[in-house]
Amino acid sequence: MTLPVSHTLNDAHSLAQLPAQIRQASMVMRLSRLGSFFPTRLSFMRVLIRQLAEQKSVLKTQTWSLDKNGFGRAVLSINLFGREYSLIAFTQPLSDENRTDRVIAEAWDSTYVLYDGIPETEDLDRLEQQVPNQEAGRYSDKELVLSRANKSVRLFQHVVDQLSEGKQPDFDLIKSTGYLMRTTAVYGNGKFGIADRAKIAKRNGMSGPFQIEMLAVYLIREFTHRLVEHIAKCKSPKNACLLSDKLKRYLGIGNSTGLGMAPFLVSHPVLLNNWMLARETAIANMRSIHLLDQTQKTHITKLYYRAKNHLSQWQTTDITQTKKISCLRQEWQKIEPIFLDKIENEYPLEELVQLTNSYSLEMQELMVSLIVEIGGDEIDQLTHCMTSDISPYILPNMSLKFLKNIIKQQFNWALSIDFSQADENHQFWYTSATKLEPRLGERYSEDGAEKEQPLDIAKQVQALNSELEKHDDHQITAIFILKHPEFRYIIKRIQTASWAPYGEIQDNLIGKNCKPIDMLRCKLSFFGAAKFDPKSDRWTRITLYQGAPTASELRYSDADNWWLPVLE
Amino acid sequence: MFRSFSETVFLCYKACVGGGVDIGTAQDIAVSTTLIGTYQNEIFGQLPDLISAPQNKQHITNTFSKTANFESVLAVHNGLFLADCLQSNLLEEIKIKEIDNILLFVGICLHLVTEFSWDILIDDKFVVRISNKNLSADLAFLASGGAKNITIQKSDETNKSLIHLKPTSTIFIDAENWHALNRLAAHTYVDETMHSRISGAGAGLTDND
Repeated sequence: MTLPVSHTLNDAHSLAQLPAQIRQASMVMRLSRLGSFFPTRLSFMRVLIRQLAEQKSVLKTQTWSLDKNGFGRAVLSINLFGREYSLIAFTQPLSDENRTDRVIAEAWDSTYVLYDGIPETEDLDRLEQQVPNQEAGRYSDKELVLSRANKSVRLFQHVVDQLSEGKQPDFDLIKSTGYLMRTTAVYGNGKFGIADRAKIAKRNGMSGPFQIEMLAVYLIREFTHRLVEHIAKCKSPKNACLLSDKLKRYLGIGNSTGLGMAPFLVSHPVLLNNWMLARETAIANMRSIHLLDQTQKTHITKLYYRAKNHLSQWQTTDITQTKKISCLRQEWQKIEPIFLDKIENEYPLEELVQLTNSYSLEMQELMVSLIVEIGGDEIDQLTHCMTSDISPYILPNMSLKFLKNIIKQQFNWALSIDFSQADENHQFWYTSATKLEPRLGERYSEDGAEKEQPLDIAKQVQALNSELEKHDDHQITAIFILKHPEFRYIIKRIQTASWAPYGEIQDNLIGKNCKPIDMLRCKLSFFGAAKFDPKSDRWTRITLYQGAPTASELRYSDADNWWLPVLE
Repeated sequence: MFRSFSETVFLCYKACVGGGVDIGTAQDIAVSTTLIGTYQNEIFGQLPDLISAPQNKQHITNTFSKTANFESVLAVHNGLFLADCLQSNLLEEIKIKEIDNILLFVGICLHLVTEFSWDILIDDKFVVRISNKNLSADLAFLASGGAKNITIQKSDETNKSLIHLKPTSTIFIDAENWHALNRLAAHTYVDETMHSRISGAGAGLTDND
């Protein structure tokens, strides 16, 4: 093993100079590994909570006009860097047969907007006509996020009933569910007329990716806690009690995520690169630490055992994921004595990473998330590198020789796929005419492949590579595209890969073996989600903000200490 | 109705693809159209016809000269190439006999030509300057559609006669124009079947957990 130059967490080093131990894109950007990711302290929810805590943000109830069944409207506001943001919630009855988490839904238990400032009554009246319609409504640039959530039928009523009788809800049911409501869409960045990201991107606290969406979800979680307490109190004013702080902290907000999230990673290669590069830089920096001090040893040991407990509480009905969790529990248990030895050594975190190399991918990724967790401010500074408003663009004077070299060096994975095999062309991604729901079809048995979305990156690379062989090396890209405009899209991506090497998922996304769930887990781990609960290979449930401090706990010194939460 | 920048880019992109424009071109035309549209003009009403214009491939015969002449330019199909030539410094001056939409071409330059400042002249009259994504123009220019005798040249920035224009943050688009773009975009959507409804998203139809 080659050891890196010795330094400690306190040594300053430039982010521009990448550590020698950084994992290469060819290793990291494979679907199977992306689909094994865990949240880290760089995850977007963690970033938001740190900001709310540092700013000592305070939540206020501005409006609470709900009937005894919890139907009506409410406004919760929170301040961040001197600005107020308000969650406006509308709740309504919903029959079981209409409760679907899919995009094709037309009604929900609750609907929301995050409003820029404190809304006036006229704003609430206007939005009450629009927000319950979600995509069919129309919004203004005063609205920053649009969302909706459905109740967990098994938990919501139970919690109301228990609280109304002055009792706390069943501990095991809380543990197995983890949320009172789950969001089924969280729209930002200009959708349906709400504000473009550009409006808030330069604001303090909002420059990082998905911070405004994460804020909306955090406030929805707060709303659900208040909602069950309100209904319980109405049901039994004399006997009702409040939900305990411990359970509130454990109850996150659920989320159902489907295929729509997957193409995002493909259509935002620069953003994906920046997320990955920050994450991998953090991992590499931690691996190059020479020695842990006693505080770090104590911290990482506690985190090891917390992760162990977390794994024991991770439940899913998905057979594949259940097997992976079972394997991971055994592997995590197996390294316990070695782990405690290793942290005493030189380059302990590097040794821990090396230790997991012979284990499952989930084991490897859990370990790298663990070692990043003991990083402090220096690691957290990397979050400033995780944003980008740049899209891939053409470098028109690049020679074809240079372009061919990028393909040779960075797209070998694409050239190695045999597209003469039917299985490698098996799937196509498309948008359904019904509410524009993203879907995945089978090319040889379903109509619509001629309208597929451009996720066939590897196939396009191969087509370009074949055509480039017919052209002179000294020709420049602009002239080549003049003759072949159909390659403009893939050339943009390839040229972008020369300066954003982590921007491409290095697998065949239309092959029979492609599992979209891997892309979903990758993106959701960057959000900060854990306890992935796949419902198929293209659909998953998760819980957001589980273990995160509630608004009344943001002032506590341990507000950032909620990686892989455990209910005890 | 007022539209956000993002939703406008998205619809223009879909409309381009639905109208048969290749993906890479559609991406750049969508951003270019929306950028010039933030200066409040008729570009969104004009875009469907520009998309459906029959393709007319351009040729450069002498790549050693910094000046090139073009006869008939279609903004959607040829505009990106001209912008690439300016951005790469392959050309320092372009003369166009006729272009089907000068507004969109200026939008393309705003989007893609970030190197140097450029002046655009129509019939030898100075009408537009593009400099680092900023637009200065003769106000009458915003009512333009097709144009003849256009010169694009590197600017020495001495002529200060144009008005610096500020883009709007939201864009007003006439309902009829929006629907026309939507009709083109609809060609990219796949009609639902019972099979695709049940299996295409990988999730069930109800979720009462």
